[in-house]
Amino acid sequence: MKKRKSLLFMLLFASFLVLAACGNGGSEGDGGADGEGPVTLTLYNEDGEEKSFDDPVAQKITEETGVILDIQYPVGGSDESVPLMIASGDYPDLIFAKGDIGMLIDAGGVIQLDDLIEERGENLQAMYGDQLDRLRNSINDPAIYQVGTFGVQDVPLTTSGTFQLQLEVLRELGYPEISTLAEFEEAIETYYEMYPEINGEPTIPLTLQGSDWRWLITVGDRATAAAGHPGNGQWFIDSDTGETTYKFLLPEYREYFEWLNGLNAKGLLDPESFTHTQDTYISKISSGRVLGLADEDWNIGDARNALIQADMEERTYAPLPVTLSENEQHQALKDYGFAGGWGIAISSTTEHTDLAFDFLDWMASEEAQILLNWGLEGEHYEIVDGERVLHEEVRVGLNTDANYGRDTGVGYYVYPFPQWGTGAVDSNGQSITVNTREQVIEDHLEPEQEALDAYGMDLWIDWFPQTEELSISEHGRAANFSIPSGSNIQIILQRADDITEQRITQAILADPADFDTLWEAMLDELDAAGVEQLNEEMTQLTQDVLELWGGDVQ
Amino acid sequence: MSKSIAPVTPQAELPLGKSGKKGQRPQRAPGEKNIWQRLNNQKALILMSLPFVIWLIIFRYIPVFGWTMAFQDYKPQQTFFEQEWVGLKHFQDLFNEPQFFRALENTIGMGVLGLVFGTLAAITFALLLNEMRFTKFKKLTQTISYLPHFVSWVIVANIVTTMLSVTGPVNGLLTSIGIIDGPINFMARPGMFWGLITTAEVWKSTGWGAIIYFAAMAGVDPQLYEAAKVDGASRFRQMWHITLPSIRPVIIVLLILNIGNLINIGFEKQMLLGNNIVADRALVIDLYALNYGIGMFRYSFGTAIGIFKSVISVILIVIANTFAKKIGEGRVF
Amino acid sequence: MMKTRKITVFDIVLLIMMLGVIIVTLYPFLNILAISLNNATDTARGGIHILPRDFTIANYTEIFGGNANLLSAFGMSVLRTVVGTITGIIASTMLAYTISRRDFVFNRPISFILVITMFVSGGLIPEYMLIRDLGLMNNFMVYILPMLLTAFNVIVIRSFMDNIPMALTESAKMDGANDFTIFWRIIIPLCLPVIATVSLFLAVGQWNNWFDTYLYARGNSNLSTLQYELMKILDNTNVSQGAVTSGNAEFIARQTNPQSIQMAITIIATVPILLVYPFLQRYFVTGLTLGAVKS
Repeated sequence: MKKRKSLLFMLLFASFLVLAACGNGGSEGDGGADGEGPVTLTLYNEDGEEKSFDDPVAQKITEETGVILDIQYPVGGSDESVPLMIASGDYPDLIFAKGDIGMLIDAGGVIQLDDLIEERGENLQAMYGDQLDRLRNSINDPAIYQVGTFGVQDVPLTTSGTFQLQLEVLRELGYPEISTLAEFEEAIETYYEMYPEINGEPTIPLTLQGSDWRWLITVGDRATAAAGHPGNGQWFIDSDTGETTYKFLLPEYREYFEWLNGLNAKGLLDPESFTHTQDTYISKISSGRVLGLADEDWNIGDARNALIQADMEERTYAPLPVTLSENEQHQALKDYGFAGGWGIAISSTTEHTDLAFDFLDWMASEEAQILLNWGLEGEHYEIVDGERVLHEEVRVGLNTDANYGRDTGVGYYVYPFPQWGTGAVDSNGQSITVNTREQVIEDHLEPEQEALDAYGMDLWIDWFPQTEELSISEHGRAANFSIPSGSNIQIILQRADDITEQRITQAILADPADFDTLWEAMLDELDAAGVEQLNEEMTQLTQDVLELWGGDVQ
Repeated sequence: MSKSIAPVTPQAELPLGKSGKKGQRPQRAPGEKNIWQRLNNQKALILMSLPFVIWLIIFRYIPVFGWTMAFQDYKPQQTFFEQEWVGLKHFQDLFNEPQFFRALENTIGMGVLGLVFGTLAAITFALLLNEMRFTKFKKLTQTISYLPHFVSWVIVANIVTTMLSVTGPVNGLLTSIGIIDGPINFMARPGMFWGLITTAEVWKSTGWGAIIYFAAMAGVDPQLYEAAKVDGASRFRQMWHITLPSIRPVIIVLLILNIGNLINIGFEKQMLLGNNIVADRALVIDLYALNYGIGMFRYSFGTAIGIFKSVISVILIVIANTFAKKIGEGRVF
Repeated sequence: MMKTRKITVFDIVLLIMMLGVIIVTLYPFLNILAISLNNATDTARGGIHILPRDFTIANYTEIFGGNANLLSAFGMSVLRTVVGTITGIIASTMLAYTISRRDFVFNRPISFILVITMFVSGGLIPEYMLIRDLGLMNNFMVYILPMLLTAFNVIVIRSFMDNIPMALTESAKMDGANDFTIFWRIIIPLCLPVIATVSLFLAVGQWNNWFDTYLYARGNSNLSTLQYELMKILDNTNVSQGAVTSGNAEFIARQTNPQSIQMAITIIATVPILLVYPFLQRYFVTGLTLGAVKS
């Protein structure tokens, strides 16, 4: 007994020695401090992940700018990082805070960049051009606090978030034209009757993923797409007047959900659409028995990979320009302009203000953009006949290895830094990003190419109303507006969203005879929740943004 | 219950619980002394508790200073003296929120169910396992039964929805033995949600919760069982009349503590297993606090909810404790 | 210890019931293990129960391969668990003993302020400021001090102490033992089962905590723990909602299925702590303590 006790105390004592040693190891070096060698800047990246700044691209960045980034991020998705930063006053040098930037501005945690941009921000000036006003904070405080994040000139080569059908369904039905909900419904219904089972399991004509936050992308936003409205989060904005409406109040949305309700009544909608987990949803799609989808492409990437691996390429999906009727224009290719809203800010406590700014400015240069997108010449790409060509293993790596970008740095540092965008070209007229029209065509799967040939198209985007036909958004995307925390808009919006997600779900699953009653009841609930006030305040916010971005201020 | 000497049950011999079950110890140790003498006599006890009292004050009470937030429009960027004081505004907002009362109802509903069935399951399991003869197997069962405690709710939610899906094994079983005509989408039945959560909770925590009762059973005097065997008491009677009374003080203390915790049921399982169809039954206070408080950085509002919960908890535990003392069944303080 | 008696129907029924319990509680773990040993892309198809369909150890090699820090983090996890459990159990039993003594002058006030802490918390920001002002940031003590006591554990230990026959301590007192000796020589040995139980609670709490590493110790890589490193790896497999709204959607879509990695992480994170319980079981044998003291 005695022996054991003394052992215990020795163990305890030894541990305290160790911890004392640990305590001393406390602050790690700040890199070469003054003048000599590169300087370590800390960057808080709300979308970051574990990554050391030592890949080939990062080394090149350090060589050019003298900056080593120490990337911090909210581990485990903690929301508390920015408030703790503010409460404690411990700011990193650079901060990418997404929607929380407003709190940092109020707290004086970040500095105004206007003068710096004017004095020494040649690259940033050149990159933003006349869109510079879109970086401004608000009508009452029209200073610039952050740069970057979204591409300035984005031209899409692929779509996301459309209705989709299996390539096999299109083939079986003889590649019909499908651009309305009725045609979409007819296609899945016909195929479902022909093949009630696929691979020995029951066919699922259409499934959604409405059991968690993804309700917003597979239920709510698909109504927006069907209505032919641009993606503005929960809002519909009249582009002439700036009048902003909580979108589920509009009749187009009612029409869309009534259609889903009918689909459900006919047994064409997966009855588990609102209860299964994401993993189950993905496994259903991966089994090849789901005919139609309404989802963002990035949400079903796992299923696509699994289908390809299981030799079921013909069960992957084609994007369709489906809207309520012939009268709407699908907005998949809409140009929102530079989106603003989010960006990287410089903290008010950094000792390296100029260096940090010069770093951000350099990231916007042509040299940097080529490096960030293509990697190093000779290592990741060659110049053949005056054009950049990615090494084959790099292209394969980027396409197949999830960790490739993180390991090599190729393409890794584009977001959330200042970026030219997918449509930008360098001084030689070459694409600044690695994705070109030719490349997208080359990457098509075999059955995909077959379908495109049958429809006489090069790319799926050829099917959609082209960017030029759609007006450019003067206010970017409303989803990126910075809404003050704890404001009326935020609270009422949360209430309204809670109501719509529940009531719309219940209405979709109800007997069609009850749909109207349920819908009216929901409108009453929204009314009681203060949706009118919400619309008014949001309209004001949109008009402020329009005014701010119009460049009339100051 | 009064400590009547009942010869039928071996209870009387129980050393456990003998130590003056109730607060009233007839006499103090040798002779009544004045307070200073007692303090002097209890130097060792004071020395042993003082560091921890100081610890409690520093680590548990100083941060409660943060409660002032509930009476301000707290902004992290301002110092304490710059904050704007708003009195009870946030509490008024809270009580004017119809959703909050629904959340309160659901929280208490699921809390009570979890408490009742969780406790019953853990005690029953511990009692039965304690009767197990095959020692190796007994230890194996004990170890395996606590595994679910370590499985995160994310994974549990996946398993539960798979099991209960329309084409899943549970529906298959129920249909094949004819209990139901066609598959039931369990996840889409608001009326079943509390039961679903309680079942999942019981499954996840029974083995873990039973550990404490195993420990309590280790303290039972084996002579009691020997005596009972001589009297020819059956295994059930032994369980009922020896094991259970012996661990009763522990059961009571845990019950009191858990009653205090009734309102702190978290939100993870409800969020992961809930969905928009059952939302009216799934919204709990902690989820409400997350969505409408901290999630929006409304620290003041979030703190007001926290204070409300604390007050309820303290009221519940004081009631439970008083009740337990009244009926002479142990105490927490 | 128990004399061999004949196996009755009761024993058989019990055995069958417990077999049922084993099946129901073991399944999820086997399921997790199977998915962790299955090809990540194939896992997306679902339908894996207790055997992997497309066996691979790639999920594990990816976790270990991508992180050189894992071994030292494991060491730190063990250290904080051992030290935290030992200090925690000493503190809890000492405090529990003082408030189990009904003759102790401050018995009730201390019990009360202790129990209240179960239901009262200042919230994250005040706690963070406290830790910072105490100078505990990036210091090993941040793992030990704030978690030293929990009211629940102390009260549970006390409820066991309440059941120790008063006669034992009284007679020790007569022999001239002081309070500390009584605590050390009589109370502790009698409380071994509950000490084992609370040690388990403390050890699991210490082992599983990664959030304090993130909040208070991320500036010192020596203090990184296994759970924290695994949490970071898990983050790397998750699709970030923000990144997908940018032009980088193509990159995101190529992410592997996180489910298999997630399961492998669960296995790595939990197996070491699961091994603790079997060692504590010997303290759960009926009659162990009283018998030992009485003789």
